Amino acid sequence: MTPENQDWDPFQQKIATLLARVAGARDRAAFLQLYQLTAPRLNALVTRILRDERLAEDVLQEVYLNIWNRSQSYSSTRAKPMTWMIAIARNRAIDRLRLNRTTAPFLTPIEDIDVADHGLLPLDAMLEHEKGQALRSCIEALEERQRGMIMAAFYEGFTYDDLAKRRGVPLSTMKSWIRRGLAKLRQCLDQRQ
Amino acid sequence: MTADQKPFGSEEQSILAAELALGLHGREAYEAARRDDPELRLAVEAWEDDLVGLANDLPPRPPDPRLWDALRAQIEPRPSLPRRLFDSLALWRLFAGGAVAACLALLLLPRTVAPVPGARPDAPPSIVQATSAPPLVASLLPREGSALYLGVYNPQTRQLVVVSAQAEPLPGSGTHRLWMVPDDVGEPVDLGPLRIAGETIIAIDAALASGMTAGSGLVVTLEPGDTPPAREERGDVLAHGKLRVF
Repeated sequence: MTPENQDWDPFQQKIATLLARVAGARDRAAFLQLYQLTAPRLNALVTRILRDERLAEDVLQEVYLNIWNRSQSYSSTRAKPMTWMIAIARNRAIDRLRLNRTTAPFLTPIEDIDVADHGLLPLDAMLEHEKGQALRSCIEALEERQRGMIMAAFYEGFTYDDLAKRRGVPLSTMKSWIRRGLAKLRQCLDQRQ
Repeated sequence: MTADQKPFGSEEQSILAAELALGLHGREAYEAARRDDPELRLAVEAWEDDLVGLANDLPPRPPDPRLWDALRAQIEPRPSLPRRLFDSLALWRLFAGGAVAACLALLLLPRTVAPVPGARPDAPPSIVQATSAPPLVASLLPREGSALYLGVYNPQTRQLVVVSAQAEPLPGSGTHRLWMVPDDVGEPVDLGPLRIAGETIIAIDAALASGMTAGSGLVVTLEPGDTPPAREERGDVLAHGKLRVF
């Protein structure tokens, strides 16, 4: 345990310990435990992004192989282990989504994307972490358009170019909308921390 | 401001970091920032930590138990090469779809026997052993249903064999076109039309061979004709699979 992660909650500390065992001794039992503790969360995210259970299973398999192979590169002093694993899962799922988009039209009109369209539980019913609650509150406080674009980027993997084309607005306009939203989000999060 | 321009103030850097964490500038900009700018990397990771609540918001969803079986098979030492193929989750689905076991045997067995270069014409064939680069296989699966095609690539001969995995011809009109996607995320490279029934043998030229590695993707699209489509006119994806070491 390093000084940097002593403030982490027990779950993050457990994940960090298991990752260290996987990285150091190539401990398959630790990897199974890591998988059991984290796969439902990563699967939820990957399935949400891809909206296709079988595709999500393929990607999830790649994600865990990636974690097995790259566990030695994880530095517990830099990022929380779940943040690191979620970034791997999200990036991999979005890569797959973008691959499909190179040859297929976008499936979901941007106008249809909003908080309510993401299968999220109501604000007061789900969040267990104070930080998560702050994030949800701050996102809920954004203008609907800014919130929709930020959510579309997170869950759908849309870039600025994608979003501008889908909304039929100049790229500079899209950047301006989102940047104002991100600035408000940062300000709100800072006030709550 | 673009992703490759360093912002002057901390607020601007924070916004850029948020954009990168969300992927608004694309994956290359994200990777470049993480690789080349330690300060920006920390800011991106801080945003990723802030945004992780969006992932944690989703109700947990336990994956199919077979996924761990497939995963475990890939991280444990295996007794023999063929075992790897049969541990593949995608291939188990392919068999579950039926009608392709015979295709697989037909496809693989003849490819393991070939004359040794320079041997006498009447010399018995020898088993070709992959000395440096093992054969690669990919099952090409649609979003729903069983596999459409099975692909086998021999790096020694740079020959890609794609065989239909469907017992009956697919309904509908059009041409099935094959694409190779380097690392499964790069720009698709056109490999030409496929025979919808039977076997298609594709010679991979030396320039493309470097992309034919484990992890690269094969994608089948439905096109109206035999001519290569323009980038913006590519048809729908019918099936996708990744090359895996056999």
